[in-house]
Amino acid sequence: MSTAKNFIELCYWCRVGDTENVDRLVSTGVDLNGVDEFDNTPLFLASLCGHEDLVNLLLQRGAVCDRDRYEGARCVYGALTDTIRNILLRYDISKAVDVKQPFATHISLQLQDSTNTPFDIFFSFNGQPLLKAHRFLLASRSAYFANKLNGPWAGKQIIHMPHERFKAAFEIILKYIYLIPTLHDIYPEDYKILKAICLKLQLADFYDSLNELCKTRDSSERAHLMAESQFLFTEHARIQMKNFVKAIVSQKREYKEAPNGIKSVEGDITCCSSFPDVLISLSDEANQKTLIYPSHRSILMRADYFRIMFHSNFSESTHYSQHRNLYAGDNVELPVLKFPSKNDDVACVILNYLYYDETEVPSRVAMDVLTAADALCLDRLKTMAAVSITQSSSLLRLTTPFDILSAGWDTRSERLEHYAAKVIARDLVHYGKHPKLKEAILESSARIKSRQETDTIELVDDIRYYLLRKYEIDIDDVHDLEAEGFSETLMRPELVRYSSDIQLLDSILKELNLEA
Amino acid sequence: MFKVKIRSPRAFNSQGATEFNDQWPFLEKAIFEIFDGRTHQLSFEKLYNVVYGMVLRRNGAELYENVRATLRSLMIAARTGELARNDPDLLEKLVKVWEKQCESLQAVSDVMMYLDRVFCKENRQLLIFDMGLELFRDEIVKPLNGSVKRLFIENLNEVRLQRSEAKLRLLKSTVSILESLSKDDDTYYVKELEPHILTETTNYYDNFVKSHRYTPSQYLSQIRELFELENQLDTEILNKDTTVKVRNAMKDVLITKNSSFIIDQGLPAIIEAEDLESLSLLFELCEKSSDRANLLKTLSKRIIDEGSAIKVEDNLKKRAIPAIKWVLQVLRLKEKYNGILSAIGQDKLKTASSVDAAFSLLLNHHHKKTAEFLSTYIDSVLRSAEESRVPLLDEAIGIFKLLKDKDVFEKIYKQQLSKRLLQDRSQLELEKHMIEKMKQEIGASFTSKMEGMIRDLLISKGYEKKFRQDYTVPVNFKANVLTTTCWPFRNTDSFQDIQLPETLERLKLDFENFFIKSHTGRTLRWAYHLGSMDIGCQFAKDYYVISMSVYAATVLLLFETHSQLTTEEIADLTCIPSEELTRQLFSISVPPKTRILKKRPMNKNIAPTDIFTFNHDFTAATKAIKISTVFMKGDSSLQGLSSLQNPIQEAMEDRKLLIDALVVRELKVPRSIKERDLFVKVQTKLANKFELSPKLLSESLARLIDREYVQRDSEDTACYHYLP
Repeated sequence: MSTAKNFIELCYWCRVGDTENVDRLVSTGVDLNGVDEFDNTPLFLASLCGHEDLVNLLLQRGAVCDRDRYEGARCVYGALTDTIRNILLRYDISKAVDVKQPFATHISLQLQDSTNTPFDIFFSFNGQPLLKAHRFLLASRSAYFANKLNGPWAGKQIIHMPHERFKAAFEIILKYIYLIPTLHDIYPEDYKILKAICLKLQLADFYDSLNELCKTRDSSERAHLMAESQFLFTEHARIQMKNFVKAIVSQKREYKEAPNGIKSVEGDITCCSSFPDVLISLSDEANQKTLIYPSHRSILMRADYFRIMFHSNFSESTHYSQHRNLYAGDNVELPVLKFPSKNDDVACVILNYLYYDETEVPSRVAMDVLTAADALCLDRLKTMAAVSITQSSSLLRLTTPFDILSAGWDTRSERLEHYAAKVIARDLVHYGKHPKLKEAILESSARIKSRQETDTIELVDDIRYYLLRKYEIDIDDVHDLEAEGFSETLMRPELVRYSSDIQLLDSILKELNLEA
Repeated sequence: MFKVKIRSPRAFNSQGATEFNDQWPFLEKAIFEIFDGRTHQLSFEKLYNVVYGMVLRRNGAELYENVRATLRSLMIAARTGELARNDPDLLEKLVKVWEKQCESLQAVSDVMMYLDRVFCKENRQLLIFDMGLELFRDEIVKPLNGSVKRLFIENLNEVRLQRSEAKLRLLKSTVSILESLSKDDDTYYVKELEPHILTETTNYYDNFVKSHRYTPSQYLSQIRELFELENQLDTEILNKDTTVKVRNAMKDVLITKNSSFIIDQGLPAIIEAEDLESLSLLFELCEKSSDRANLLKTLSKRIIDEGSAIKVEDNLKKRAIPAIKWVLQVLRLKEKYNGILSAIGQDKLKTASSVDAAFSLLLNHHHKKTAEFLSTYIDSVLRSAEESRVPLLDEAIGIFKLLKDKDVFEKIYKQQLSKRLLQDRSQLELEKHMIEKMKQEIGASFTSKMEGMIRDLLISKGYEKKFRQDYTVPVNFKANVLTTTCWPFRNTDSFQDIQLPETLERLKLDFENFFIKSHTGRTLRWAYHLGSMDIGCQFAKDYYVISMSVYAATVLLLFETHSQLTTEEIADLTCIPSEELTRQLFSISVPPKTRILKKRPMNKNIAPTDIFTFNHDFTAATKAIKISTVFMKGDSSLQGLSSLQNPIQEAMEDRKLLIDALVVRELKVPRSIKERDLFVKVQTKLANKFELSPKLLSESLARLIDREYVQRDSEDTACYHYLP
C-alpha cells in the first residue's frame, strides 16, 4: 500500500475513532502531521470527533500540536470536549518530548537500561569507563560500522578508540543510533566535530539535521526541526531494520536433528553478518523442515515471553551466564529457541513486527499470527492480527465465522467476537443452517454460566445487535412492534425481514432449550 | 510444543482431563526441582508450553488448584523441616527460608505467566506469586506467629542494650517479610507485629524506668539518650510510620506517665539550679501538646510564685523607694526567665508568650500599684545621672507592654513627665526615646499628648531666643508656652493673676506683646505655681542664691521696700490667694533650714495678724538653696499640678466615661446586641488601656439604662437595645 493511500485510510479511522487501526497505520511510517485535501490533520479529525484515546495515541506517536501554527490552533478550538482540549493544551512543543514508535522506544531502552540488556561490544577511550553497544544494531544502522565489525573488529570484544576527546561525541552518536533524542543536548561548539564524524561514519541524515540546525536560530523553529529530524531518523531506522530483517530471513538455515541426538546446522550461522546471540527455530510444516533464524535477545525481549525467559534463572538464560564471552566469532553454541508457529511466513511477520513495528499482517496468515502472538504475549501484534482478520474480505472464503469466534475466545479478542457475530447476522439464513452455530451458541452460554454475571448469551445478544444494524432499525421500533403485535401490511419491509431473522434465531434457541 | 492450528470449538469431553493428568506430573516435578534450587537445569520453553497448552484447553482452574496444593505442601515441608517453634534461631532460619521461597516462587510464577495472564485475570484469582505469598503466610508465618513475635521483641530488646549489626539485619529482614505479606487489606506487619512492638516497647521502657532511680536532670539526660538510641534503631529496622508510633509510645510512658516527677518536681528544681541544659532538654522532650501545656503551666506558676514573693517595703517618707525596689526585682526576675527562654531551643514563640502571660498575670495581680511603681521607676531612672540609661529604659518597656492598666500608668507618667520637663530634671533626648518606645508598643494615640508636651518645650526655646533679640531682658528669664490640652492640669480657670514686682510685671507684659504679635487669637495665662525664681541675696553673714516658687519670690521681693508686713498686708500687696499665701509664708518662715523671713509670734501657724520681717541672720550650709513649697495637713484645695495624689481614682472615673462611650458607639449600628458580644467588642477596643471586667461593663450598662440610652430586652435579659 502506498503512503498516500495509507494516509487517507488513517484519516478515515481518525474520524471513526478506531484506535487499533490507527496504531497499525502509524507503524507503516505514514506522516502523522500531514494534511488531507481539506487541510485536516489526523489530530484535528480525532479531536473534532471527540476520540480521546486516539488523541492521546496520536500525540504519543509524534503528532504535533503547535498552537502557534494554523493546524495546532485549529485542533484546540475544534476539540469536541474539554478533556481533549486540555490534553492538547498540555502538549508542549518546545519540550523534547520522546515521541517515538514502539520499536524505537524499545531500541532506546537497550542503551538506557543497562541492567538487563546483553551488550556484546565495548569501546574504550584510554581507560575511561567503557561505552557499551550491540553489534547488530551498529551494523544495521551504519554501513561504516557493519564494515568495521565484519573486518578489523571481528572477534574483538573491546575496541580501543584513538582519542579520548571523541568520547562525548561518540556518546551522542550512540544515542543517535539507539534513536534516543539527542539533538537538543548538543552544545553549539560540538556541531563541527559531530558533523565531521557523521561524514566519516556516513550518517547522512544526522549530518543534514545538524547542518540545518546550525543555520536556524529561532527556538520554535529549532524545536520543530528537531522533532522533524527525530521522525526522519526513526523512519530511516525503520527502513534499515527492515533490510536487516530481510538479511536475517535470508540467512535462515535448515536445522537437522539426527536420531542419535546430534544437531547440525547447514553452514556456520553464528558467524554471519547479522551478529546473532540467539537462534530461533520453527518447524516448517509445508516443507517438512526445521528452519533456524539468527536473532537477537535485545529485540526478542519485546515479547513478554522472551523477556521473562531471559530474566529468569532457567536454562535458557543461565546458558549465557556460563558463557560470558559470547560474542560473534566465538565458537560457542547458541541456544535454539522454538517459535510458536509452523509457518515460515508467520515467523517473518513476527520478526518484522519485533524489529521495526511492521503492523501489516497479511490476512492469509492472520489467524496463525493471532495465536502465535497470544502465545508469545505480544498483545499489540495480537490486536493487529485481529484488525487484519476483521478487515479482510477474502479470509471468510478460507474459514468460517465460527473459527474466528473460537479464535477470539481463545485469544480474548473482543473485536473478533463482535466481528463473528456481525458476519453471522449479515447472513443469518445461511449460517442458521450451519451446525456449528448451535455449538457456538451452546459454548457461549457455557462461558456465561461459569462467570454467573448475567443470564444473557453474549453471542446471541451480539447477533441481535448486528441484525438491528443490518436493517438500520432503531431499537424503539422493535419495542413498538412488540407492543402493537404483528400487522404485516403496515410494517416497513425491513422490519418484516428483521422479524423473520429474529424468529429464525429464536427457533434455534428453542431447539437448544435455551432462554435468552 | 506450540499448538497453532486453528482448533475447532472444544466440546466438553474428557479428553482435556486425561491430557492434563498426563502432563501435570511433569510440571509438579519441575516445581519440586525449582524449590530444590535446580531451576537452571530446567527449560523455560518446555514448562511454559505445557502451561500454555493446559490453559488453552481450559484446564486453568485445575492447574491453579494443583499448583496451590503443591506449593502448600512445599511450604508445610519447609516449616516442619527447617523451622521449629522453639528454635532460638527461628528468625534467622525464617529469613533464609523466605529468601529461598521467594526466588523459587518467582521462577514458578514466571513459568505460569500464561496462567496468570489468562486464567487468573479472567477469574479474578490471585496471581501465582501472590498466592504463594498467601500460602507462605498461612502455612509458615501464622503457625509460628507467637514465636516470631516473641523472638522479634527479644532480639529488639537485646539490640536496645547492645548494638549488633547481625541482629539489626535480622530484625530488618523480618519486618520486610511481614510487610510483604497481606492481612485484611493491610500488611501482616501492620496488623500483627506493629501492635505487638508498641505494647512491648511500652513495657520495656516502663520496666527500664522503674528499675532505676534518678534525679530529674539525670532522668532527662537518660531518656534523651534512650530516645536517640531508639530512633536510630527504628530508622534502621522499622518503617517511618512505626518509628513515629514508637516515639509516641515512648513519650507516653517516659514523659506523660511521669509528668508529676519530671515536670511538677523537676522543673522547679531545674530552675532553682539554673540548669539550662536540662531545661532545654525538658522542653525538647515534652513535644506532646498535653505535656507541653503542662510544662508551660508549671513554668507560669513558678514565675508567679517567685514574683509574688517579692515584698513591697513600707516606707512612708519616701514613696518612690519601695516602688523602685519592687520594679527592679521584677526586672531581675524577667531577665532570669528571658535567659531561660533563650536556652530553650524549640518552639520559642509559644514559650515566650506563656512566660509573658505569666508576667502579665504577676504584674496585674499586684493590682493598680504596678502602674504607679513602674512609672515611678522610670521617673527615677530618667532623673538619675547614670550613664547608660537607655538599656534600663528598654528593659522597663518590656514590662510596660505586659501591663494591663495602661490608663493609670498614662496618668501617672504624664504627671511625672510634666514635672521633669518643667523642672528641667531630665534629658529631652531620653524622654523622646522613651515616648517613641511606648509609641512602638501600643500606638500613637497613647503618646500624642506626651509628644505635645515635648514639642511645647522645644518651641518655647525658640520663643525665648527671639524674645531676647527683640526686647531687653534684665534677668535670666525663661518662659515655657504650654498647650493646655497636652498637660495634666486640672481647672485652668483657677489660675489667678497676682501682683508681681515691677520688673517682673514689665517683663510679663513684654512677653505677652511679643507672643500676641506672632500668634493672634491666642490667650496666654500665667501658671505661676509651675514657675520658679532664683534670687541672689546678701545676708548678714553670707551671700546665697535662693531658688523658690514665683509666689514665694513675690512675697520676698516685697521686703526690698518694706521692713515689716502682716499676712493681711502681704495678701493685699500681692493678690496671692490666701491658702496659697499661707503655704508660701509657712515655707519661707517656719522650717529652720529655709527661714528667710522672721515671723512673730514664732509658731507653726500662719495667722492673718502675724508679722514678718527679713531674716538678716539667715545662714545655710550651701551657697545655693532650694525652697520647696510645704504641703500642710488638711490642705484640700490644691491647684494646678496634683502630684501623685489620686490618679488611680481619676483613671477609674475616666474608665467609666470611656466604657459608656464605647458601649453607645457599639450599640448604635446593630441596634441590639448580646452582652457577651458587646463585652468582646468593647474589650478589644480597650486592650491598649486596661482590662475590661464584666462588672465594669454591667455597671456601665446600668448607668446607660438609667440615662435612657439603652434598654434591656424584655425577654432576654442578656440582650440590650439602643434607644435613639
